[in-house]
Amino acid sequence: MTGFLLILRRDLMIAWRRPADVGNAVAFFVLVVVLFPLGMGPDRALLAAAGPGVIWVAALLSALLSLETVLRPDYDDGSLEQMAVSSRPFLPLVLGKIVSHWVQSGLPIVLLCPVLAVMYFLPADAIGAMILSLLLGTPTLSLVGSIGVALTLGARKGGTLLAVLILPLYVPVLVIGTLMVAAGAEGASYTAHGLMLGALLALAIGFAPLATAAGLRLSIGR
Amino acid sequence: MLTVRGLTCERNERVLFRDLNVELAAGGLLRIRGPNGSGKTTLLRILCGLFEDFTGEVEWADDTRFVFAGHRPGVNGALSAAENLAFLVGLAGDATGSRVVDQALAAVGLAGYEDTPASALSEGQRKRVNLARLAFVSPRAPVANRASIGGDDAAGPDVWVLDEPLASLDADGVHWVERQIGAHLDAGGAVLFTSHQDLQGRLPSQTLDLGL
Amino acid sequence: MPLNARIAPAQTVGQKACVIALSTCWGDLVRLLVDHVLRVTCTRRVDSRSVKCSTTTRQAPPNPITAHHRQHIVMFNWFHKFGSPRWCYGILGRLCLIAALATGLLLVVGVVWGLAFAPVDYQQGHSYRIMFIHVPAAFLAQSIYLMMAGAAAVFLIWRMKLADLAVQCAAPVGASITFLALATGALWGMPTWGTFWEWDARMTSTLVLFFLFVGMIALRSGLEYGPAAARACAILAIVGAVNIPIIKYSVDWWYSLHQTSSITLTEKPSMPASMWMPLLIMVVAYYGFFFTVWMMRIRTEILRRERRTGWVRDLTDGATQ
Repeated sequence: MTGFLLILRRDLMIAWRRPADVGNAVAFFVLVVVLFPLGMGPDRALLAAAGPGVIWVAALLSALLSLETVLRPDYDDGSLEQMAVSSRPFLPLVLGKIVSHWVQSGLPIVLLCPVLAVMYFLPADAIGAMILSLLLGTPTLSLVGSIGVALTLGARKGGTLLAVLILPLYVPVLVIGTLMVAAGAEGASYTAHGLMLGALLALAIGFAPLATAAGLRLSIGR
Repeated sequence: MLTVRGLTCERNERVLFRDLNVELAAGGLLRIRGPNGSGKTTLLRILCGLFEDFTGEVEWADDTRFVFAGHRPGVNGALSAAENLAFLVGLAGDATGSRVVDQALAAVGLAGYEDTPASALSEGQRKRVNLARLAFVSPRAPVANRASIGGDDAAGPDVWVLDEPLASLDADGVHWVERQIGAHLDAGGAVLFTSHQDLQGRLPSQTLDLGL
Repeated sequence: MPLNARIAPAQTVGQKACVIALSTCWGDLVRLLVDHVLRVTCTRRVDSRSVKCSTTTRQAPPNPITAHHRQHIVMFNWFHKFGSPRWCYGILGRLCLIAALATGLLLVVGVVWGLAFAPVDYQQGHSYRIMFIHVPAAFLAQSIYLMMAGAAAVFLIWRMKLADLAVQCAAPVGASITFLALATGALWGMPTWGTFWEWDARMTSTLVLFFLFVGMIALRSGLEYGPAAARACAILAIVGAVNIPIIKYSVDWWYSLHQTSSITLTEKPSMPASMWMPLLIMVVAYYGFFFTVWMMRIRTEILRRERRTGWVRDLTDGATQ
């Protein structure tokens, strides 16, 4: 079994046995999405206009919160060290961890967003655009976020520091994702946006694991 | 297998050791001694590539594989002892059948605990799960379904780097570890370890004293 | 250094290339200067207390890890203390003085010319004059991040301690300059838009840049002092620098698709020489200002890091006597 599959299988088993970790992130996502109408009022037009942005920002924040649960337990109990010194190449192991994070946080978001989009009175085209944009965008969030986690593993207060580091880097994905959904809502073509998100994802897959691996080695060596 | 030249390390503005020279050959048993805080763990981590803040040269011979068993056992609480062991062994490059995993756990004294989640195990028991790897990762280990990395079916990891392997083990565990180390050395491997106590029945070929 | 006549930061590819070229040029100049002086002085400087300079004329980069085989680890020297901090302290002091004098002169000329003597804009009247403060600041903010990332790359490749100092000291200065750009942009916005804030492309991307700087500062203070923290910050600087063009492009796109107002803070296509000349002078003055402050901060940080060594004690003892 390759290192990638080994890690993926292990992480998914852990997630399966500890559904609370996954459930918390998903619950947070849904809660944030539900809170906004409570704050803004149930006006249909307002919610339809704000929907893409709110759902995307909630997805961002939820991804951010769940990032730590992927790497920190391994750092604390020593599994990360074992991965670093193992005879298997480190990069596929890192990629496995990132994919497992996506499966635990990004995938539920993608599956849940149609329901939430309906709550925001988004038209059907927009829902399709939203699913696609989240499908392409959430892996990028996991990839870029893992860089931040790797760099801050040894920090004293991980949580808010991570947010300060990562959220500016999330801006392009957020912007293009919401533009994509807005285009879908108007009935316009959103192929260009999809291609842009795909390009960002390709860039992230290419470079983020390298930065994450370097950051992890730094944190392990502390 | 391992050559260290002129190794110097400073941590928190304190010099831990200066100009260390070590040579470890097949069958060699190196013991690192020193009071607490003298840098034993740091030295081991430097040798394994986990710590890079040093001057000097550390050179592993080609095709030398090693296994590092540190302070933290690398055992996840949500998985059972058997699953943890399978994962750790898998990281070392061996795919192994569950029967052999159970045998190893039994050898290390965790016979009935294969399916217990590791969160229910004590610190010492978790350490034993980590050490149970030693039954697999040795040149002479009989393992089913060996699928080592790189396509060669040569022997398993040659060098064991063990940080306080005898701590939090009972007498049986200590004997088991000593037997494993002895067999590993006989089969041509090498062992580097730190310990406050000596191994019974096996004298170290070299001793390194830190902090003196 | 030939500069395009249109200095104002319009979102053209050419401008971006200009920014990159400028910042790499400056960064390269500084590095070349440091390298040259090191080459000249290194051979005769052997300080027994601080790290000995290499007796070869040029410090070779450490051996790369040739076999990236996971089973073959060759460690190389980490503490290649490039140059002596004490020497850096001295040379930076001299450079700093020169830069400060030049900056002072250029600032006086630029401010007086721009605020008093440049012609009145037909559309915005006198209020456009804040451009002479705002535009160089926005321009410089991006350059600072790129220079910081350049220093970070130098640090990761050659393990030069001075580069790590440069990264550490550039972040707060960059954050302040970005904040200046945002504040002056808001002040400019009042007579132009009627509000203090408008989500136009440039202000928004400047805001994101501000948070990138804040992130650098936060990471440095969140990690314990040490070489690992230095490398973590260097990695973050490079990751951020790679993201900057992506952020700018996406914010441009965002703005153009959401655009409600057609009045932007960017200048009109052609600026007469009497306007872009003082602007150019102000840009150069801002660069000089940045270098002055940067070098001063680096010197202070050198003192702080080397506070236990003899030469620093001598310095401070001399000062109190």
